[in-house]
Amino acid sequence: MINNILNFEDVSEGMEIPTIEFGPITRQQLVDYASASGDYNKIHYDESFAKKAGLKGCITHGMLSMAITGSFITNWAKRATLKNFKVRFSGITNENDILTIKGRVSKKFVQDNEHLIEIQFQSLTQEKVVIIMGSALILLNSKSTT
Amino acid sequence: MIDRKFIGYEFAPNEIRISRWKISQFANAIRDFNPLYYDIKYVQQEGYRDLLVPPTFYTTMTFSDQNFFQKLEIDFRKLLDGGREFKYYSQCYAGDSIVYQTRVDNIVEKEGSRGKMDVVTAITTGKNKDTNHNIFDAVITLIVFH
Repeated sequence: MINNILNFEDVSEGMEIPTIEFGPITRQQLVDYASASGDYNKIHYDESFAKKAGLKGCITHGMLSMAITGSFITNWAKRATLKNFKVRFSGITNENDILTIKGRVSKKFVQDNEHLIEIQFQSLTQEKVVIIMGSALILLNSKSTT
Repeated sequence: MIDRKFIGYEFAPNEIRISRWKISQFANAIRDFNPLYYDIKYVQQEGYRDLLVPPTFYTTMTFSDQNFFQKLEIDFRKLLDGGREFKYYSQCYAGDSIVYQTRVDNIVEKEGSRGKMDVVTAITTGKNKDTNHNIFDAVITLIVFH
């Protein structure tokens, strides 16, 4: 299983994390997410309601967009431990948008015997609108301590 | 304007038992098919005691009291989700019970391109009910236009 583990030694500062593409985000997914998260705000699945609220149509839950960036992190940093994960929402994700998530390692350091990296990432729509900017602090395994 | 008397206000705690089904339902809603969220045999082979939760799973516990918005008299039409942060302290598995509690950390006034707003920060702390270990803090930043 060694190939499935991201070790501290595999990572360098400035290194890019493989970009992923996600979507299109369908109405079915918005309904599934409303149900799984308990966020039943109708702007996410009732188009006429969303339009009355002044939107073009149904929009994605902000937390679904964050969850997708979470998958971007955990599918790269396999067997790692997430310590902190934060985002700012900077734009709207519409139904049927396709998101591109990009990121890089901004810091690599050892603190209190913990092998840590900080990454920064962003999520963009097909129109290159940045909808999320965020960062995460990740604890990695080190070959020197295992 | 949100009444500043709510700064420091603690809502009643709530508790939830994390079921395997709920984890898999959430993972499916975010279209993350990592077997750590579905396959009990796989996770046990990997050395975990049960299914893990995706990083944003705790969003379902953002408010320990469903009346959060009514209590603070927040008008949904003036509300924007400014950002989220999760701090992770220990791993949580399917079968664990979590006690979580929300408090209003701060309310400050800011001025942006859309006029004056209140920025409300609320923090929900999640603990393992049986061990009392901290599991997560979920920090939500809400922007409420005047």
